[in-house]
Amino acid sequence: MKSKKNGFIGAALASLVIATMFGAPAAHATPTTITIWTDLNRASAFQAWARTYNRNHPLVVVNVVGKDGAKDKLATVADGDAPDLIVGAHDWIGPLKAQGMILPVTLANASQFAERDKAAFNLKGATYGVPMTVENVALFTNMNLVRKVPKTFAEFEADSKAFLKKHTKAKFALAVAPGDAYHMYPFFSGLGGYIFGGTSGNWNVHDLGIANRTFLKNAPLIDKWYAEKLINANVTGDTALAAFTSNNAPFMITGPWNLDKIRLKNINYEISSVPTIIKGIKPVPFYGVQGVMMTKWAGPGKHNIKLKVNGVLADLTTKPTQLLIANQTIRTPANLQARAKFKDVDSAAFLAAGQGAITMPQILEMGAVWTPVANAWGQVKAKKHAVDRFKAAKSTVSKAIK
Amino acid sequence: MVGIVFRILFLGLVDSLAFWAGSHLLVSRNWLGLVWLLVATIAINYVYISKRARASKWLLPGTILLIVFQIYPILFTATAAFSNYSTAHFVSRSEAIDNLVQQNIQQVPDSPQYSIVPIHNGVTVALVVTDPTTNKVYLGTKEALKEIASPKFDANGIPQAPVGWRAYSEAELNTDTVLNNLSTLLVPMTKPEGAYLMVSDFTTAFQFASDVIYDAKKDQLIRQSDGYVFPEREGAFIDSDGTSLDPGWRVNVGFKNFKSVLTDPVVRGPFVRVLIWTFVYAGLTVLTTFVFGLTLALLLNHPGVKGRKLLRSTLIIPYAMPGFLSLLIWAGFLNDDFGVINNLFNSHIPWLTDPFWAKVSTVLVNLWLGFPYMFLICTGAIQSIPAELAEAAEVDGAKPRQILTKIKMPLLLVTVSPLLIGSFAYNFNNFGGIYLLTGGGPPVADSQIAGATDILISYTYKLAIEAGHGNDYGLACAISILIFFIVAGVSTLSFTRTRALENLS
Amino acid sequence: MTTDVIAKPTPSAPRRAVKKRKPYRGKLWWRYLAAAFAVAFALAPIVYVVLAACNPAGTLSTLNFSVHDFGLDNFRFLLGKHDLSAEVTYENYPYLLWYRNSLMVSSIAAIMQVTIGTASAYAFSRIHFKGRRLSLGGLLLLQMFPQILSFIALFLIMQKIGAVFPFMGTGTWAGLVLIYLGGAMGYNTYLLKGFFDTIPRELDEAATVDGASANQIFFKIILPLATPMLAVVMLLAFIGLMNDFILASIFLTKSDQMTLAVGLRSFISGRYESSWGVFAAGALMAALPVVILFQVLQRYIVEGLSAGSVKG
Repeated sequence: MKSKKNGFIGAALASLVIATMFGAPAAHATPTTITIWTDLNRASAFQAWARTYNRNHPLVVVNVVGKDGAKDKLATVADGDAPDLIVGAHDWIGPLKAQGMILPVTLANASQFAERDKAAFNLKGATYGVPMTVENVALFTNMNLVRKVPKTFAEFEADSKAFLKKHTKAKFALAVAPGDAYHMYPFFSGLGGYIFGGTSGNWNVHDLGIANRTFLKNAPLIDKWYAEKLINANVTGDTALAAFTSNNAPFMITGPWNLDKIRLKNINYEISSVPTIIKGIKPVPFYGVQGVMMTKWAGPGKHNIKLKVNGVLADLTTKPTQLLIANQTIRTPANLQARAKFKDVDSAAFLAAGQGAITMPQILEMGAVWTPVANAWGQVKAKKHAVDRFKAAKSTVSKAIK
Repeated sequence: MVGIVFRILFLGLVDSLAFWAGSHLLVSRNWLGLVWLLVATIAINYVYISKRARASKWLLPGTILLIVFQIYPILFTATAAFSNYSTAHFVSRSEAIDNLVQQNIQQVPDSPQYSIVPIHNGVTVALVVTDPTTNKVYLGTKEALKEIASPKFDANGIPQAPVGWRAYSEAELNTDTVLNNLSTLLVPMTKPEGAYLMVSDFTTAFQFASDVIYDAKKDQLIRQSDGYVFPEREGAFIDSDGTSLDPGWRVNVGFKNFKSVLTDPVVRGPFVRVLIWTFVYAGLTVLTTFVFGLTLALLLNHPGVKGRKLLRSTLIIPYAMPGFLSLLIWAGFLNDDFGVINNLFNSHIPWLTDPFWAKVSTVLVNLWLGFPYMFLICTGAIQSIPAELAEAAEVDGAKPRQILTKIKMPLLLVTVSPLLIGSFAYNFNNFGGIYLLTGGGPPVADSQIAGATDILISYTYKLAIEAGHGNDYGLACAISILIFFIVAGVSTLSFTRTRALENLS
Repeated sequence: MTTDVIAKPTPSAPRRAVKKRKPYRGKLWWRYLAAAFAVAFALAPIVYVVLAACNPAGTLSTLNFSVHDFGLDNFRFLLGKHDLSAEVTYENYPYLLWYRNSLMVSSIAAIMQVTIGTASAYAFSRIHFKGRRLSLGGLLLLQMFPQILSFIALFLIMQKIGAVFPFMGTGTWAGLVLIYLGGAMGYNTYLLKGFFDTIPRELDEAATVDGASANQIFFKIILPLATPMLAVVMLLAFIGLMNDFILASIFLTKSDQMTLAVGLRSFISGRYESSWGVFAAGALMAALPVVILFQVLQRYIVEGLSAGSVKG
C-alpha cells in the first residue's frame, strides 16, 4: 500500500516535470498489476518475494494468488481474473502449449542455470518457463529401525526382512504407494524400464520402453517384492507417510515436499538413492523442475504489460529471489549461484540421489502413460505376474498414442 | 389491484433492464445476443399482459433459466461431439495462428544479455545498447545497430544517450505509447544473420529470430527460410516432417467421434459390459436406498417410538456431509490391509481390489450416502397417505400387513415413482460415486481402461482425459450423447409403465 | 370435507395415535433395534471423522490415533485462532469466510430455486395446458443428460453475460446463483408437483366459484397448506447447494469468494500432501447448518406432510 502511494507521488511529480519540459502529454503512471498463480503450498513464499519486488518497483504490483490445480483452471477463467504468470512443474508445458495457453519466455541470467533445467522447459527450441526449484524422490531410511543406510539392494532387502521378522504385524517395509508411477520410477528404471526413448524435449514416442526386453526379464523381481512384503499394493501416499513417521516402516520413497512433516515427528532419517538392483543398471528417479510460465494473457494483446512481465521474470531468475523461494519451500533452487548458497541439510543428499535422473517427459503423450503404468505396478490382483501387467500397460499406451 | 401495480412495476423493471442490456449488445454488435434478448423480453411482456397465457405465467422464469443454463449446454455438447475439440484443438483458428507466430519469436540460444537504455529524439524510440562480452556501446534503431565511437557514461557507469537523443524517465517509460513502441522495436543485427535485438524489459534486450510469419492476405502460415507454406489438416498446420503444430484449432469432423466409439476395439470392447454394470449399479442403488429408507420411515413413523425427532436428525447426517468427502473417507475405510473395517473385524475382504467386492462396496457406500434422501421423502409420502383409508380398511377387517401392502404401498409408489426414476438417472451418471471410491477399478482382463466398477460416465471420463494426445472432449461429448439416448430410452419406457400404474389406482 | 380442512388445520395424527397405540405396544422393541442398527450404520463413519478431526496428523486409512496427540488444534485453526504452520495460516485458508459465503449463496439460491420451482409446480399441478405431460416428461429427461462437459458451455455463457452485466459474470456470486437457478425446474418441481397433487382440487374449485383468481388461489389456499412441504424441498435444495463442488469451483475463482466445499477441497488437493485432519474438522463443521436446519424444519415437515392426509 505504502509503496503504491510513494510510486504515485513520484509518478505525479515526474509527469509534472515532463509536461513542463517537453509539453508532452502527462504520463498516466498507474501501477500495472501482474497476477501470478501458484499452488497454495507455495503461496506464502511467493507472497514474501512479491512484497520486496513491489517495494522496489513502484509501477508494478505483483499480485500472488494461491490456487490449486492452476493448470486446469486456465481453460475456464474470465479474462479479467486470468493470470499473467503461473507457477508449476515443467511437465505442464506440453498440454498448456497445445491448448495455446502459454507463450515462450526470455530467460535472463541464462548462464546461471544448468542445461538440464533449461531443457526441461524447452519444447521445439523455445523456452516456456523460468526454472525456480528442482526436485526428485529419494530413499529415506529410518535410522531408529535400521543400523545403517543400505548400500546394496541385498542389504536393503535384508534390512527389510529383518524388520518384518521383528515386527510381525507390519505389512510392508518400504513405505511407498505402488500405484503411483512417479514414486515407483526409481524401481522401474532400476529394472531396466524407461518411458520414451530420446532425450528431454526430443522424446521419441514410438520408442516405448515400458515393457522392453531387459525390463521384462527383471520384472519377476516385482512379484518377489510383493511376496516378501517389501512393498504392499494397498499402501497409499497417506498410509506411507503415516507409517514412516510413526516408526512403522524402515524405508520410504518421497521427495522434499514431505520433509517438514517428517522433521516434525523427529524421525532420525537419512536420504540416499535407491541401491542398484540389477548389475549395470542405475536406478534413477524422475527429475522435476518447478518454474514460472507466462500465459497468453501477458502476450501481444497487452503490449504494455509484456515488458513488465519480462521484468518480473528476470527478477525471478536472480540469485536472491531464487534463494528466498528455495528457503521458504525447502526445495533446491535452480539458479546455480543460489544453489551454492542454499543451506538445507538434505539438499545435497537429494541432488546426489537425483544424479542421472530422467527429466519427466513434458509432452502431451505423457498423459496416456501415468495411469496404465501405475496400474501395472499396483493392481496386483488383475494379473498374477508383473510381466503380464506391464505388457498390457505397454499395449494400452501404444494404442492410445498410435 | 395490488396484482396490477406489481405487474406494471415488474414489467417496467424487466423492460428497462432489457433496454439497457440491448444498448450494450448493440454497441458491441452482438446481434445474436440482441435477438435472444428481444425474444425473451417480448415473451415476458406477452405472457404477463395477455390473459390467454395462463400456464406460462407460472412457468416462464424457470423456463428461461432452463433454456440458458441447461438446454444450451446440452446443445453445446451436441455440437462438440461433431468436432475435434481436445487439448490440441482447444482454441479458434485465429487464436492458434496468433499463438504460433508468437511462439516462433524465439530467443537465439546463447544470446548475450545486452543491457540497454531506452532513448528518444522526440520522434522515434531507440536504444543505447551495451554488448556484455565486448563492452562496446551501440545505438540501436529500427534501421541498424551502430557503434558509438566514444560513449559517455554517468556516475553509475551507465552509458548516456548520444547527442540529439534523450533517455526516458521512469514515468515516461510507463506510458502506453512508449511501452508499445519499445516492445515492438526490432533492431536488425548483422550477426547472426536474420536475428534482431528485442527489448525484454526496461534494462535488457536479447537476440531474437523468427522464421514463421502469417500472411494475412493469403491467409497462410509461411516459413520464410525455405518458403514452406504450412498445409492445414483437420484443424492444424502440418510441418514439413509430417507432425502437426501446437496449438491447432477446433474444426468439424462429422461423425468421426461416433465412428470411433462404435468401431474402435479399445472403446467398444468393454462397452457392453460397462453398460450392463451401469444399469445394475443404478438399479441396485435405487432399490437399496429406497428399501432401506422406506423401512426406516415406516418403523420410525410409529407414534409409540420415543425420540423420533432425534433419531430422524441423526439419520440425516450422512446426507449433510459434503458427498466427495464421504466418498474419500469410505475409500480409506475399505482399504484391504489398512482400512478400519478389515482391521476392526479382523477380516480380509478385498473390498476394493476384487471385482465382485468392489461392486459390493460401491453399492454399499451409495446406500450410506443415499438412504437419508429416500428416508426423508418416504417419511413425507407416508404422512400424506390419508389415515382414513387405512382406518376404513381396518374396519373392513384388513390385517396391518394387508393395509401396508395393498393400500399404503401402491399409493406410495405412485407418489415417489418419478423420484425413483430421477434417482436412477442420477446414479446412472454418478461419476463421483465411482471415481472417488474405486477409480473405476479393479481392472478386468478385457480392457486396460475400463475397470470392474466403471460406469459409462467414468469410463467416458477416462477415455477422454487419458487419451493419447491430451484430453479428447469431442469423444467424451459423443459418448455423452449416446449415454443420454440409452438412459432416456429406458426411462421413457419405465415412465410409461408408471403411468399405467397411476391409471390403475 | 373441504371445509373440514380449513376448520381443522391440526393434523389428524393425534386422533390416529390414540386409536392405534394399543395394538402395537408390545412390538415396539424391534423398531428400536432396527433404529439402533440404522443409527450405527449412519454414524460409524462420522465417529471416525471426529477422531481424525481431533488428530493433528490425521489420515483416512489408518487407525493410528495416539491418545496424547488428541486436541482441538484443527478446529482452532479453522476458527482463525491458531496457525498450523507458516503456510497453513488462516490468511491462506479463511474458513469462516468460506462458511459465510456458502451460507449466503446456498440460502439465496435455495429460496429462489424453491420460489421458481413452486410456481412451475403449481402450473403443472393445477393448470391443464397443452403439452403438460410432454413437458413434464421432457423436464425429467433433461435431468438425465450426462453433464460431464456442460461446465465449459456454462463458462462461455457466463463470459458473455459478464460482458454485458459485469456484476453477474464469472467470478461473481450473482452469476453462480444464476447458474444454480438453471436447475430450479428439476427434481424440485417434480417433488412439489407431487405434493400439490395431494391437496384436494375441490378446494380451488370452491374458491373459483367464489370468484378467486389463480393468483389468489395460489397465495391464499395452496401456499399456506404447502408451506411445510416447501420446507422439505427447501432443505433438499439447500443441502444440494451446500455440497456443490464442481460449479462453485469453476465460477468462484478468488480464495475469499470460495464456498466450503471448494475451500475444504484445497486442504487435500495438493499433489503430494494433504491435511486430512483439518479437512475432517472442516467437513464436520460444514455439516452443522444442515443438521440444525433439519432440526428446525422437522416439526413442519412431519406435521406438514400429514396435512395432506385430509385428501381422502
